[in-house]
Amino acid sequence: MKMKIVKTLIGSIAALGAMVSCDLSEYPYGFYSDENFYNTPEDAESAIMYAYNALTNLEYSRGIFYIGEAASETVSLKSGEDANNPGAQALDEWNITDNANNQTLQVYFKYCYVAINRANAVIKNVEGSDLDEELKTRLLGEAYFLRAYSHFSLVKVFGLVPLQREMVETVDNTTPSMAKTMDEAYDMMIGDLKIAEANLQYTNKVGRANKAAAQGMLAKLYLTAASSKESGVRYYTDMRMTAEEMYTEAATWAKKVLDASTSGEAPFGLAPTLAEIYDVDQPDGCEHLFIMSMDRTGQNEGNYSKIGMLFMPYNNGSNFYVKMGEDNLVASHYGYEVFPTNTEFYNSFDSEDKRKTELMSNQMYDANGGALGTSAYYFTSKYIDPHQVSESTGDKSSVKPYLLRFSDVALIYAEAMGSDDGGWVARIRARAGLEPLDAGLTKEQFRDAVVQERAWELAFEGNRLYDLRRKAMVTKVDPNAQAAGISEADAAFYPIPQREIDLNPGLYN
Amino acid sequence: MAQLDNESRINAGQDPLYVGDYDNGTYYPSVAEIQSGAWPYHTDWADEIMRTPIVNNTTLAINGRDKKLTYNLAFSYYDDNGVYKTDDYEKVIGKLDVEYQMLPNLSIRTSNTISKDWRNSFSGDVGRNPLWPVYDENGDYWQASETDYSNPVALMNTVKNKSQGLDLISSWMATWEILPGLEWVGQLNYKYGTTVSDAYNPKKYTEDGVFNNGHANISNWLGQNIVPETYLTYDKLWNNNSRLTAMVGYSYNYYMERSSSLDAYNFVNEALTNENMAAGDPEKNGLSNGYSASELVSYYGKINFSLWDRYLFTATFRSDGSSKFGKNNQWAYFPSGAFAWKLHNEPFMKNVKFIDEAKIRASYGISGNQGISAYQSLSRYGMEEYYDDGAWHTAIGPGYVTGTYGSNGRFKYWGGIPNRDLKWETTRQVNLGFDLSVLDNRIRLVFDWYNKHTYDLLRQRYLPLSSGYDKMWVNDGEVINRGFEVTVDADVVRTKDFSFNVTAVFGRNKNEVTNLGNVVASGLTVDPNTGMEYEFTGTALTYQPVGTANIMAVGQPMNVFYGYKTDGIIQTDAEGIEAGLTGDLAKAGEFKYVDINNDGVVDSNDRTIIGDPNPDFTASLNLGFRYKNFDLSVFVNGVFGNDVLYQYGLTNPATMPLRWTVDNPTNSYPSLRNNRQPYVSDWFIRDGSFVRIQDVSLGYNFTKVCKAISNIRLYATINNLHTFTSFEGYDPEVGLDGIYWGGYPRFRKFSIGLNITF
Repeated sequence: MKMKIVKTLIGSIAALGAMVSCDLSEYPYGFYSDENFYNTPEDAESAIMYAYNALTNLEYSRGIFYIGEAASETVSLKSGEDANNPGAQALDEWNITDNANNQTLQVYFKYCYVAINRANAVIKNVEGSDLDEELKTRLLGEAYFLRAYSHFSLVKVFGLVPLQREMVETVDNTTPSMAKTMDEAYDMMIGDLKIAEANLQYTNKVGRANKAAAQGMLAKLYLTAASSKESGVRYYTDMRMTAEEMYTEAATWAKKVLDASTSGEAPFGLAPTLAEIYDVDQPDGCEHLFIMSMDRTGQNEGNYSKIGMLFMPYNNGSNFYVKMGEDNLVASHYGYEVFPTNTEFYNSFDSEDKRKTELMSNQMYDANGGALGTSAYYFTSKYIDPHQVSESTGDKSSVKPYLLRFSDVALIYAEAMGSDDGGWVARIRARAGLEPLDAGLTKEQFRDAVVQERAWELAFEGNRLYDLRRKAMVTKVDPNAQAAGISEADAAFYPIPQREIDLNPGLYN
Repeated sequence: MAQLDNESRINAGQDPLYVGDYDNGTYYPSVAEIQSGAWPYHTDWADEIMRTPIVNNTTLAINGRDKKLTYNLAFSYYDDNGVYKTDDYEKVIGKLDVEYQMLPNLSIRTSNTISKDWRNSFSGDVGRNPLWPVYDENGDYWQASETDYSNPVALMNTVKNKSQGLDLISSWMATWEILPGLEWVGQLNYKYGTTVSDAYNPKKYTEDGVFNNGHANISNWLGQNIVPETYLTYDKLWNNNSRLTAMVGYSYNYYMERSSSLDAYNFVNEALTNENMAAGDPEKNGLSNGYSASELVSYYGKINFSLWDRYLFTATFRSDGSSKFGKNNQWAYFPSGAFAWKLHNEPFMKNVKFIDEAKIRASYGISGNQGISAYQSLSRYGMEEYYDDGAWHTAIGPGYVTGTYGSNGRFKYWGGIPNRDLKWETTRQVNLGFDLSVLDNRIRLVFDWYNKHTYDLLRQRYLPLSSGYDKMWVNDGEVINRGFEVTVDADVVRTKDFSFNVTAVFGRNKNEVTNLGNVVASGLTVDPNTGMEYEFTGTALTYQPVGTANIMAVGQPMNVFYGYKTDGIIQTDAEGIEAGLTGDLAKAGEFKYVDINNDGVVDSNDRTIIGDPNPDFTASLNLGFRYKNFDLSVFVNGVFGNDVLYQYGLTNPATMPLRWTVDNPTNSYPSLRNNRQPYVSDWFIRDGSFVRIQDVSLGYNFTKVCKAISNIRLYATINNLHTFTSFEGYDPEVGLDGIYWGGYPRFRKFSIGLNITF
C-alpha cells in the first residue's frame, strides 16, 4: 500500500514525458476462481463437496417434499404456506393452470442445474488432471453420480428437460438443448451412472455416493422407465427397449446391491428395526445407500436441517415427547405443521403395521410420558432429532432427507422381478410386523402390491408422487388431483419453467 | 379490516382468522369482539415509533488573506434525526483550504476536509396489526407468538445498530507557469474513509437473536481513492480576438476498498452486547473479509481555437484504460469535436441592438461508461461448508450467492459466470443548440437538441435456469435517446427595490431500444403476436402481482411494462369460462384477462406492452422575488405522462372495501382472495404524473449590522410543500423501472437558518 502511494506520488510529480504505462490486469483477491483453484488434490476434494452441498440448499432439499409428497395422497399443505414458498399450494391442490410460473418448481429446476454444474466442474477439471489415479477415479465416480442424480430429479418432475453435459464457463454454455426423447435423457443418465458404478467402491460415508448407490440408482431409473412405458406415460412409450427388457435391467442392477450386501462385500442391508433406520445418530446405518449430509452445528439452513419442523405439530411453540413404540420416549422440537398427514393415508395402513403404530402418532407427551395433547393429524416420527432439544440448538437439527434406502432397492428388485425372489418384501413386511404378501398374486397384482408397499415403507421420504406417476395413477389415488379434474397426462409432468423457455434459445435446437 | 381479512381467506377456501381463536399460537379476536370493544387493544404504531424530526446545521467559517497566502477555515455541525425515534445522525466537519503563492510563477494550493459522523439506525413496521398491544400484562413487550419478531417498540429498545465513520478528503495542487502562456499543473487528490459498525440482536424479540442465543457483530470498512493528475496547457492570444488553447494531460485513478466483519453468537450474559466479542461461544465465531480494487488510466488532449472571437473550434481526444474489462478490451479511444459561431460578434449584427448574445453550437463526441463493479470479467467461485466425516469442511466451486429474495431471504441468486470480453459501453452524441439573449439581457433563451446513440450497453442479463446461474454482465444492445431542452430565463421586473425573475425549463426525451443483439445469442424472446424481440429486465416484483414486469424490447422505450390486458372483472362464472379462463381464474370476482390473440384461451401468449414508465416530458419553474432585503423563491417541478406499476393495488386499505362481491358487481376491483396470484396486468398500471412544489424559501438580509458583523441572513425553507398527483401510493417519484416498491411518504421538511458573516 505504501508503495502504491509512493508510486502514485512519483507518477504525479513526474513531468509530462514520464507517462506511466500501467498494467491494468485484475487479479482475484479474496475469492477463488478458475485462475487459482483446481490445482491440488485438496482443491478437487473441496470441489466435489461443493457439488454435494448443492443438494442441501433449501430450494432443493425442501423441494423433495413440496413436490414429492405434498402433490401425492400422503400429506397436504398448511394453509398460508404459499406466502413462504410460493407455488407449493398449487402443487398440493393440483391447480395446474400456472405451473410454468410456479416458483417452487422454478427454484427446484434451477438447483438441479446448480448441482449439475458443480458436478460438471469437477468432471472438467479432474478428467485431464495429473491427480493420483485412485483419487481421480473416485472423484469422477462421485461427480458422474451427482450429475445423473440431479438429471433424474429433473426428469421425474418435468419429463423431458435440457441436458447439461458441460461446465458453464461462458455464456456459450448457457443454452443447452432439451432432450429430444426419453432415450436421449436416459442414455446420458445411465452412461453417467455406469461410470460412477465402475469407479466407486462399496463404502459407507454419510453424504457421499458409493458403488451401491450408483447400482441402486441404475435400478431405479430402469424401473421408472419400465413401469412408465408399461403404463403408457408420455415420452416413455417411445423408448426403444421394451418394458420387460427394462424391468430385467432394473432387477439386474438391484440384485448387485442385494448380493453384495448379503455376501458382506457391501456394508448395507435391511436395518433390523424401524427405529434404527430413522435414528438421527445412525445416518451411516446399513439402510442408507445415499443420505443428505446436514448437521445441527451448521450456521445456515442447509448446513443444518429444518426438515423435521415441516412435519411436526406446532403444540403452541413448545417442545414435546413422542412415543416411537411403547417404551421409547423421544424428545422432539415443535414444528410448523407444513405437511400434515392426510387421515385417509394414515387409515390405509394395516392396524398392526409398526410403520403406523411406531412411526406415526397424534399424541404428544411430557418428559414423564404424561399426555400433553393431541395433534390435529398423525405426524411421522421419521424426522426427529432429540439432541435439538437436549442441546437447545433451537430449530437446528441433524435430520437428513433419506435419498436412497436399501429397502427402496429391495422393493425395486421385487417389483422388477414381479415376484418376491429372495424374500425381500417378506422381510420388509416382517420388520413392520406383517405377514408376507399373498403367494397367489399374479405378476401384475404382485407389482401393484409392491407399489403399495412402497407407499407405506417409504412414506414421507419424497418418493410417492413419482411412483404414482410411473404407474399413471395420480388421479386415481390423490383426492386433490381428482377434485382438480385433471387428466393423468396433465399429472404426468410439470411444465418446464417459463423463464427457461423465455431465456434459453437453444432449448429446441 | 378484520372483516375484510376473513372474507379474503374464505374466498381462498381457507379458514378465517378473526374468529376469536388461536391460529399458530396467536389469538385473533372475532369481529364481534373488536366491534363491541371487548378486545381492548388498539395501537397506533406510527405514534409509538415515529416522530417529527428536527435538523440542525451550523457552520462557522473564517477567511483570511494576505499578499501570498489565502486561507479558509470552516467548522460545521450537522444533526439530522430521522423520522423514526432513535434513528439519529450527527456529523462534525472541519475544513482547511490554503493557497500559497510561492514564486510569482509558482503557486501551491491545498484543500482538506475531515469529517466524523455517528449514526444510530432504526426503522420498524408501522403497518403492524393495530389490534396488537405494545406491552403484555407484565409490562414486557407483547409478541403475537414466540416467533413474532416484529414488535417495533421491542426492536427499537433492545436491538443495537450503530455506526461511526471518519472521512478525509485532501487535494494538493501545484501550478507552474513555465513560460508566458505555458502552464504546468500537477495535482494529487486523495480520499479516505472508514466505517465501524456495531450491532447486537438480543436473545429475545429478534429471530436472529433467538436462533443464535444472542448475535453480536462488528464490521469494519475502509476505502481509498488516489487520483494523481498532471497536465500542460498552452494559451496564446493574437490581435486581442483570436486565441489558441491547447492541453495535454494524464491521470490515474486507483480505487480500493476492504472490509472485515466479526460475528459472535450464543452469549451467556448479554449485558455487554457486542462490547466483548470473546464472551460468545468460542466455537461459533464467524469471520469474513473482502477486498476490491480497480484502476483507470487516462491520457487526454484538447485544442480550443477561437478565431476573431466569432468562430470557436474545439477538438478533444482521450484514451482510457480500465481494469474492469477483459484483457483485450481495457482501452478505448474517445474523440470529440465542437464548433460554435458567435453571431453577435459579426460585423453585420452590430446594428441589431436588441440582441445581446446569439450563439449557434454544434458538437459531436464519443464517450464511455465503465460503471460496473470490479472483477466481472473474471470467473468467481463460491465457498460453503460441507459436513463430511463428522466435521465441517470448506467446499469451493463455481457460482456464488449474489443476493437473496423471498420470505426471509430464503431463496438465493447465483452469479460468478465471467465475461472475459466485457468492454466499454460507448455513446456517440450529436448536439445542436443556440443561446440567445435579448433586451439588455432581460430575456435569455437556451435551446439544445441532442441525439445520443449508446451501444455495447453494459447490462446484467438473466441467464436460463438450466445454466445454474441467475445473471451475468454483458455488453449488448443499443439505445437511442433523442430530445431537446429549452430554458427561458426572464427578469420580468428589475428595479432597485423590487425584482422578479422567472426560469422555466422544459425537456422532452424519447428513448428507444434499437438493438438487443442476436435473438439466439442474447437469449431474447419473441412476442408471438407482434414478432417484437424482448427480454425481461430488472427485479422481480416482491409483492403483487407475481413475476417480472419490465422488458427491454427492440423498437420500444426502455423498461416498458409487459403483461396481460384486463377488461374489468368477471361477473359470473360462465363469463369467465367464455373469456378463455380456467380454474380459479375463471370465477366471478376475478380479473377478466383479455385473450388478445383470440385463440380461445388466456395464456402467456396473450401478453403485450401495457405501459411505459418513461415520462412524455418534464418541466420545472423557478420564481424569484426580491423586495428590498426580503427574497422569496419558489421551485416547482413536474413529470408528465409516465406509467407507474402500483404493487399494492389489491391491498390498499382505502380501496379494499370497494371489492367485488355478489352484491357489489363492480368492474373496478376484484373480490378479496387471500391466495390469488395475480398476473402482471394493466390493472396495476397507474398514471405517475405529478407536479411538486419542491422548495419555497423566504429570506431576509440584515446589512451593515454593526462593525464586527457585516451581514446577517435569516431564512426559512419548506421542502416538498405539496405534490399534485392522482397516484394512490405515498410518492409517485419512483425509479427508472417505474415500479412503486412501497416505502414511506416523502416528508415535508421545514428549515430555519441563520448565516452570520463577520
